[in-house]
Amino acid sequence: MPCSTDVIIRVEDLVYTYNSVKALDGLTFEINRGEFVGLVGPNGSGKTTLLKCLSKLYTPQEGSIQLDGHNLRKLSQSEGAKIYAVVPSEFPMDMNISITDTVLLGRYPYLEGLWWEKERDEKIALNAMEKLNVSDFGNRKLGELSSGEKQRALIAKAIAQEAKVLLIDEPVAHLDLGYQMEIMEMLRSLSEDGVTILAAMHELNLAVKYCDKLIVLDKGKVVACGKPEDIVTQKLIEDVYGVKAIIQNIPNVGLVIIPLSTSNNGGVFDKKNSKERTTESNKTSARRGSVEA
Amino acid sequence: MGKILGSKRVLAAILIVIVAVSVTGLSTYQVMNNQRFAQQSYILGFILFQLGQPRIVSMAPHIDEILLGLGLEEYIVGCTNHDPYGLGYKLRDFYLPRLVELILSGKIYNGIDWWAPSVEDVVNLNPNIVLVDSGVPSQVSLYYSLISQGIFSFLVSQGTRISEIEVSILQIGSLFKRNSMAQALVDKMNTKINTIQGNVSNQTVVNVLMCVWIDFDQQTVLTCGNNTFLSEIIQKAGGLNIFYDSSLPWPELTMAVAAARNPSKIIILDHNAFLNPVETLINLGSSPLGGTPAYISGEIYFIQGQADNLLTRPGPRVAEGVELLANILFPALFNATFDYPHILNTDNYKGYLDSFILE
Amino acid sequence: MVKTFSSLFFVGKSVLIRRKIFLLTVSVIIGLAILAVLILASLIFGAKVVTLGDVFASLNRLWIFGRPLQSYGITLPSYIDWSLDTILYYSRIPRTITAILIGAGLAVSGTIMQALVRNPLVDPYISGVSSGAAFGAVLVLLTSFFTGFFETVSLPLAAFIGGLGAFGITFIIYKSAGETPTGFVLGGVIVGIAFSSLTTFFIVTSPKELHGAMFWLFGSIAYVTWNVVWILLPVVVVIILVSLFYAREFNVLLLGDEQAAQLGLRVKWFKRIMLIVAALLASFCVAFTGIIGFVGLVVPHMIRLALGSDHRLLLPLSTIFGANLLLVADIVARVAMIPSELPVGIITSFIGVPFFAFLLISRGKRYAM
Repeated sequence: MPCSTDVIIRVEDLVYTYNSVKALDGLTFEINRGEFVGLVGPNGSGKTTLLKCLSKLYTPQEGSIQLDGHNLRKLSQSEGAKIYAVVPSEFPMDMNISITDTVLLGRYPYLEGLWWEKERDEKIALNAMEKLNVSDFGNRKLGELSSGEKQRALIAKAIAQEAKVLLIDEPVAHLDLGYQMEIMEMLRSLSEDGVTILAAMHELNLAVKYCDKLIVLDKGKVVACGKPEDIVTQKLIEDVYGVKAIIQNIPNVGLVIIPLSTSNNGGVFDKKNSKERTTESNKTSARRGSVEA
Repeated sequence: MGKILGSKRVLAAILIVIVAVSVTGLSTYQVMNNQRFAQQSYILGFILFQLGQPRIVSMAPHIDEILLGLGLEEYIVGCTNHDPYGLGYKLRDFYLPRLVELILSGKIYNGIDWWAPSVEDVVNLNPNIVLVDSGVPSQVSLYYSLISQGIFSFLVSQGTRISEIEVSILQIGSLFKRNSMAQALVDKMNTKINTIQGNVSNQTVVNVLMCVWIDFDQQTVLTCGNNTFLSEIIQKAGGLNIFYDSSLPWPELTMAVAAARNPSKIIILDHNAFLNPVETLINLGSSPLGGTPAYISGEIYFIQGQADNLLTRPGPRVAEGVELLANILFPALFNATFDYPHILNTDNYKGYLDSFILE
Repeated sequence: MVKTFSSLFFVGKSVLIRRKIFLLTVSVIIGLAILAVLILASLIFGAKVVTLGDVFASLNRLWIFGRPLQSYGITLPSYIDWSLDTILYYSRIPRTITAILIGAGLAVSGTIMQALVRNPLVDPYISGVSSGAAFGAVLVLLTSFFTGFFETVSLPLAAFIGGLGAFGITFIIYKSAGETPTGFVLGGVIVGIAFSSLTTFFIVTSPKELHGAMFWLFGSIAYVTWNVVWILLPVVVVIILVSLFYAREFNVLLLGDEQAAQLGLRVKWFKRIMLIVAALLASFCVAFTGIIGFVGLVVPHMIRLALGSDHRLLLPLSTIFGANLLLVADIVARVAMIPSELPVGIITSFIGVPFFAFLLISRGKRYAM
């Protein structure tokens, strides 16, 4: 694991309010260059909101974000696009573009000239496609691919953007086990090449296995931040998710979280207290299902 | 809108601005020039018209008749047909004899479409004056097209009132410097109309349902409202248009509503004789109109051919229309007899007229 | 020679882009060739058939910047038949040019709208522009608001204001309904129906018996004058050039608003301005010739089915083939039922519908926008 201490993202006291609800309530954390960071937390904890603030889609009311030494507020959108790249969780896009064109669009912040991309742009895009194993699909349309392939194409696009930071929302949410592993392996190898990755995820076990660092959010606050083996405890899981779990550190495998039951000691899942959760999806079984790898 | 990177984009942007400015400049110049030129064309066209012998294109049948009334038929080079479905009609049903002669001898081209005329068609005839029917918007567009080409044109009013028709006659008369003829024509019209009005003045007013169109499937009739010359004809002939209170000029109403107003006479306009009178009478019998005084006493009239023209053309012959209608409304008074079923057409309409506006 | 020519375009670009440029060039050449043929046909055929020499002779009457073409060094034959000459100069040439401008304009307007709303059902007319424009025009007709200099301009001006106003209302509905593509279509349809009903109401109740105005509402290029050409020319040319300039940005929008924003495009501004521009273009076209439907819907679709969604190909080709489609329609409208003029909008429907159905069926599986 890379152990550079060069900070690439610094967030201080970030507050974002929407409809008089504080989605982000004084977030502070740091991410170092080359780290693969997992952003975890229950639904409604502010993961997506944070990613959108980091990519200038939302403007936070208070606090500051420093990206690669620049104040994010002062960066224009196109300057920002050269520093971070976003991989979305859903695909609200035209499914009729070819894969190559999709990846080439990642070069948009760098394009010169009037219309056409340069040879260099094309090389970068093709390289990205190779890295993500989608070169064979070049001429196919986005709509023809499986979800795993689509996801890889979109990550390739983010790579083609030559960004230093990859912001990913739910990289493996709709994928089956095989694809999940594949994507996480790819992201891992990308981070080893020097790309900083911040991925919002539900899949705790995958995050714990692959990420250098975890940032745990709950109700818009950072509850824990650090290496998985340091911060993942039974108490944390119970406080944040309301789930009783066993944490095992299996040699040669790593940290494993096995959920057992919901805590029903009048704690988090009392009807009174469940209103504190700002989310719509509040069934334990669903959550348990997504925690299971 | 995003950063413009690279000199190529800046160059292109500058190019677009240059093109925009120059094309806009050119266009503005041309349009303003055209305005001046159009005015000159208009004046030129008018002068050309004044100088030579008139070559008239008449864009509606009622305008044909006005020209006939002013003795200008020799100068007509083109007129319209009103036959959008190409079903063919007899020339004698559509044009007065003098015009039929001129058409058959090739002196008048009668192929211009009234509803959607082709500019080329009109220009091909080399006219120096075009009389346009302002009630047809495509003809109004034609008007603007023509005057910009230096062909003098005149918008003839639609004639929603008989007084408007008379004004049109006077206007056209003065265009051709035939003011006294125009006045004489108008006087002739007024004399006939006033005479008829006088004759029927002490008669009880007759309720009339005037059907421009009948739809037996929908059970509706298309009739005329207050602001039409047809309604005025009815009134002058001593009748009461049962829908005189309709503010729509050509309302479409259900037969039931019409029947409720108890018309004493039902008049059906059918220029091309599409309707079979006997069938129609049978159908009427089983429709809401079957209970009206008009139907019960057999007072249903079918108006075809030239007789229809008297009632549907806002031209000088509206006076004859008044007379014809008066004959229908008060047969005893005018010694008018009708065969059964009551059909008035090109062959018999003259029998109901004392005198003719256009000889 | 081909090598040096191609190196002009292909320098610094590798295989993929070269292929695209080649495809673009070939398609443009084919499109322009068809356009040339259609222009000739439009000029030559009609109630009277003319020769090419007659066409050039009639250009003697064209004065640019106050001087005849001869004075710019262009030699033209002198004309023989006055009425032929008049027809060509005042009728056929402006008509041909107008058909090209409006066809191109409508097609580009449709392309832009479809890219911005990311919905294939959007075209200038579904957005309510045409109904609003028609409403403005009919109001002017009814109130006889013709005053002096503005005789030829007040009608289109009113139509333009009506079109833009209607589009504004659609936009408000679109934003209130959450800025979704469905919201846009629904808003446009509602506005379209509202304005059409209003227009029909005014026509039917007008004391001036203008139910014939319905004809105008069906769209016809038959009565255009040179003024129409000159007024349309800068609007259409400039807007098309601007949209070509931003072809890349339209491509970026294909990824969705959020992705486009994160790639550096100022999405809100771009969309707003481009939508207004597209509506402007369509309003102008309706203002002069009435409602001609289908061109803005079908042409971009057809090109997309054939060549994909890359706007660097889509926009130039929509321009050219939009012009082609309307030229064909106008020729048919003029010639099919001589001497009557058919409304050109009906012809565009006759041509557009089966073609679209055929393309959709044969390549439909691949078409997923």
